[in-house]
Amino acid sequence: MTPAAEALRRDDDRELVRLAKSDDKEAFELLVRRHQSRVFAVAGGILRNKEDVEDVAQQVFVKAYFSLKRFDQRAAFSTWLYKITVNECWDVLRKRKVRPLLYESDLSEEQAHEYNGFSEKATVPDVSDRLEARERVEKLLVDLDERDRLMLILKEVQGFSVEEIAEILEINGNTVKVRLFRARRRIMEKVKRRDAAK
Amino acid sequence: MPTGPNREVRGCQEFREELEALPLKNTESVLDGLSPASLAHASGCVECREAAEDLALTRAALQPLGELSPEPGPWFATRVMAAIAGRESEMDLSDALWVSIRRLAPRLVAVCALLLLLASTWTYQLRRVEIVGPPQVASNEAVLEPGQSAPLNDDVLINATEGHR
Repeated sequence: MTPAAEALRRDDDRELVRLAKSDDKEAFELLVRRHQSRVFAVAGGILRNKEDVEDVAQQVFVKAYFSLKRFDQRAAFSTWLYKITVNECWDVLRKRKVRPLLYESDLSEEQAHEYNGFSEKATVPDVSDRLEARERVEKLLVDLDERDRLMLILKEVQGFSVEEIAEILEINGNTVKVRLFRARRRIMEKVKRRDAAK
Repeated sequence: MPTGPNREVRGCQEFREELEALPLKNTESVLDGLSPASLAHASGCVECREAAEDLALTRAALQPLGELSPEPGPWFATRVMAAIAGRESEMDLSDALWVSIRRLAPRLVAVCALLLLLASTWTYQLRRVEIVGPPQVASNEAVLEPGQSAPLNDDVLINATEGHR
């Protein structure tokens, strides 16, 4: 068993990072495989387009590889990686200067089918049902500040802890809690208004 | 042990801390995941119950985002490694170019110095030949300059007779 595979078996990111730093390509590839899903999830929480998410995820890992020598392992590798992901996503949005919303009405039939291939773990079988569900969620999130929206997705969709979010966004943990609380309140007000209107 | 309002505030804080730390699976009934102390607090605190309800409803409302979140393809890691290899070979190429330039630099300096020396010597020689060499034949323009008239026939004859003498 190679040192990288051994480190993977022990679930040891630090060792994999150490090996990758000494030019062990296999170790870095194992790090990619370990963290790719969550990098996709984080990028997917900010960007809507599948191609954008893939491009950003690839860019993130390439950037991480070439910056690995400067990474001192004071923070967890995963947190460092998600921080790069968030910054890359915001760069993409800044370049486009548009809010990353996607409504079903914006999609052609072909695009909607393509969107269907976005996830293999989706449980709702019909494309339009899923897009409708997503559209409803997007409408709930539309008024939120970009950071609040990201915090909420990281916390309530991806399952990140408050501490992790604070580290990724480089803000105080209490600020995260307060902003999450307010964001949830705003969403609930919208849900209640929406339900009352039905 | 704090009593009265302080105890309430502390109870709320502890409840909120516990609420934030609840794992994602507790979406339907977040209260099920809380400790007995927090549950006892929630039964007497409307705001904390509302906070718990907000959390549960938000998680339920955002669930479609989780179901639709993108997944990496089976070849993603391979593609990343190929991109890294490509970038590395580009960097190696430019590094190799720099190394060869740096290695050749002393020789290039020597060749340039020699060329400069040869060029300046040649230029110096050329100017020396111009200064020391035979007088130049007057140019066409100089012949036609005013004040220098063409020799007359009489002048030619006088010069010829003086020559015979």
